Amino acid sequence: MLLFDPESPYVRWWLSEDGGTSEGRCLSGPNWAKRLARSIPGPAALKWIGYVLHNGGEAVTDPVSRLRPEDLDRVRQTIELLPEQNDLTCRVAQEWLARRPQIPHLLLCDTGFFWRLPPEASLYAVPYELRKHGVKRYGGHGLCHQWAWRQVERLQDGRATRAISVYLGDHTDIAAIRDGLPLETTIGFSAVEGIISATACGDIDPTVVFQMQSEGMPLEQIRLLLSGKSGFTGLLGKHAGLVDILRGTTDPQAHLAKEMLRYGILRYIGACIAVMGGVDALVFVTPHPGACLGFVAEICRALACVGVQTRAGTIEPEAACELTDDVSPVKAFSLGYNKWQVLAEYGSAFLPYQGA
Amino acid sequence: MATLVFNCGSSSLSYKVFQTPRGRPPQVVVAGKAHRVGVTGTAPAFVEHHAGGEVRRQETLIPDHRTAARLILEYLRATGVNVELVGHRFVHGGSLFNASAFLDRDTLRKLRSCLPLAPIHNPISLGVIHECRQSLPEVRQYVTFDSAFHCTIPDYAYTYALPRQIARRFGFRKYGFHGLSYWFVSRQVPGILNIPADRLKLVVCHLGTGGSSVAAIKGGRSVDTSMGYSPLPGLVMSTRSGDVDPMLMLYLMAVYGMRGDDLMDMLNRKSGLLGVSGFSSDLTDIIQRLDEDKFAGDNRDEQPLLAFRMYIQRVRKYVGGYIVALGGVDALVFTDDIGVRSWRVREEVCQGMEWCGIRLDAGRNRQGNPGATCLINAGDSRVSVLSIPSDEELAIYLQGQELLLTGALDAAV
Repeated sequence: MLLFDPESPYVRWWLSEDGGTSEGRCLSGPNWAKRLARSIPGPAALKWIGYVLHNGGEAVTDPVSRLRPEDLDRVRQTIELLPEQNDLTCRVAQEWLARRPQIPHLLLCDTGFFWRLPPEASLYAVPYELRKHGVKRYGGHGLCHQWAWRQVERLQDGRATRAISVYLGDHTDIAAIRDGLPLETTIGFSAVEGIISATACGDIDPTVVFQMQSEGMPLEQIRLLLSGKSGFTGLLGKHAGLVDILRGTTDPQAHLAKEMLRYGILRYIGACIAVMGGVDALVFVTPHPGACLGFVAEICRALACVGVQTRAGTIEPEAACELTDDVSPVKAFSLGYNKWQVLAEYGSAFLPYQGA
Repeated sequence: MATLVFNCGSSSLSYKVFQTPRGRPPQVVVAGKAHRVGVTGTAPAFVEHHAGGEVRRQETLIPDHRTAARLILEYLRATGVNVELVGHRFVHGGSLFNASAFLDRDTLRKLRSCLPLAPIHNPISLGVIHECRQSLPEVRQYVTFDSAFHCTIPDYAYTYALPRQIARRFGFRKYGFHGLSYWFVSRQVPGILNIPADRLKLVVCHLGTGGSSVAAIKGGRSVDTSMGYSPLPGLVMSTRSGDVDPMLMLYLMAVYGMRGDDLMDMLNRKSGLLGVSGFSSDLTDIIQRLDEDKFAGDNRDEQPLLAFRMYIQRVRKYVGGYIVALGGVDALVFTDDIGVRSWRVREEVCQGMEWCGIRLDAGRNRQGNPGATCLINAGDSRVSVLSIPSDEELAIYLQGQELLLTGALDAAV
């Protein structure tokens, strides 16, 4: 199978064949869709092709769905919500739908899981006049959180009914999940809202936007500033990701960035527990389990007040490890996350239902 | 010694004159309020004065707050009240004021530079200050700040993760408000619970008829609060939206061609309970509608039940978040109009909060007297739950007394 995930200005791809897997990325620009197609080593026997759509808005509401050429116009409606990323998804999909018309194409939508957020969590307290323009909280990383819930079910043999899934990465976010359904999450209308990330500011007073605009800053510049130049990168004054700020450093700004991340996570875990009226299991999901282990342990220790009893001794970074002891009222797990493998599982599980 | 305290609302001016008889608690000698200040309409503006059990009402033109202050000062002079100290409330002191301050040329200069931070409230307060300087040139004045109590919030909670030069240029950071109320409440609780102030961890919900916020208070100091650079973010309020994604504004401006100032007006004056319920900004109205019509229809413009649920959920999210951030809590406090009057709000906020040790006593909560401090948790609740009426004017007075004391100490040194 072949998977595409836009990460503006790149499109990343991942190819799984009998002989193994390969991956790469291509910079968007003139003729880039064709260049991308050429750069992927001749996939001969593909079963299916999948495309990650980061925000499906109100047009794409299933986590996994079949994509046919006639669906593209509907998917393009979402571009205005997340201009760069969604445009890339649509253009790659258009190219490969034409190249491989005979195999199934799947849309893997990161907001699908949160389509069922209850209205008190998904709506903003703004007039209907604004709400009717699709102004609502769509959430994010839904495919990851849904996968995390299934892991909790497996690890706890179905005993946990209320879980909090914490995705720790360059864009950290949290979901409160009860019986497999989302009740609350940190990402809102866009991925800027919520917890501080590598390049986005997270929660800020919306008056800030107005102030910058009244000083004559163009809208496009403000948008880039909040989503691409803030967060860890803005605080440190140079590009920085999660691993950079977790690495022990003497830079006081890196220390501040880490403290803001830790504090944001703790505060939202508390908010999620309050919304669910308690919690049975916490699961930290990360593509960098080794780098995050100390940080996750620190967070778990700070959660002693809600019944997280951390295991004594050192914990080895494994693919899946339990952080709490056997009698801990609230369980905590750390799971390694391989995005491509998980996306591949989603597609492979979906296709048989489709009779493909 | 009589202290006059002014408290500005956007269309009103309240005042109280306090005296502290030796060895007794502070007493209000005269109090009053100018109503409909600067409001154009059919109903007339008026000033009410309450003294010695009598009410005097004076209907007159009150075009602005400075005029209201002049009318009040004239009344006090005419009735022989000898004012020796005047206290003011200033909503937003920015980073220039970490505590209340006596008025001198330096303070005045700093106050002027704070005007743009709260473009509606700050100029009003400054007008009242100027009137007092003119009418009572010999009398000492001091200023208290709604933002000052939050100056102890640590950097990881007040910083907005924007590029540093942008944050510095505009002064973007969290300031927080309702500080006088939080200061007042956090000084009451140690005595009520008999826990030393420096060990006490509190979450306080200031739920007002206009603005609302939540604060986390540790050892008598604010460590976080839900409002921000401006009083817009945080809880769902009467007409303010509370938290919204900042990108939402950019989207509506870029895709729907809305104007920035129209959007700000919409988020500040047409959102919150009013925006969701579609008919009222008053939580009491909305609760009444819930009782009349539990299953409201499918009208998407008018959703009182949704408005109520969103209001509650937002309070719960902040309460839960702060309790975890504090690593547990000793007391949860409700204050201001809605906080002390609505048992329904307190009941819904505390429901299912056993995970952090909160259990309400349903009966005590419903019978709580809004005019007095009430302990409303169940006997076996690990966390105390209190309803405490706030008294901003008394807080302004007490801060003045502390200033006098430290001023005298400084002089002695």
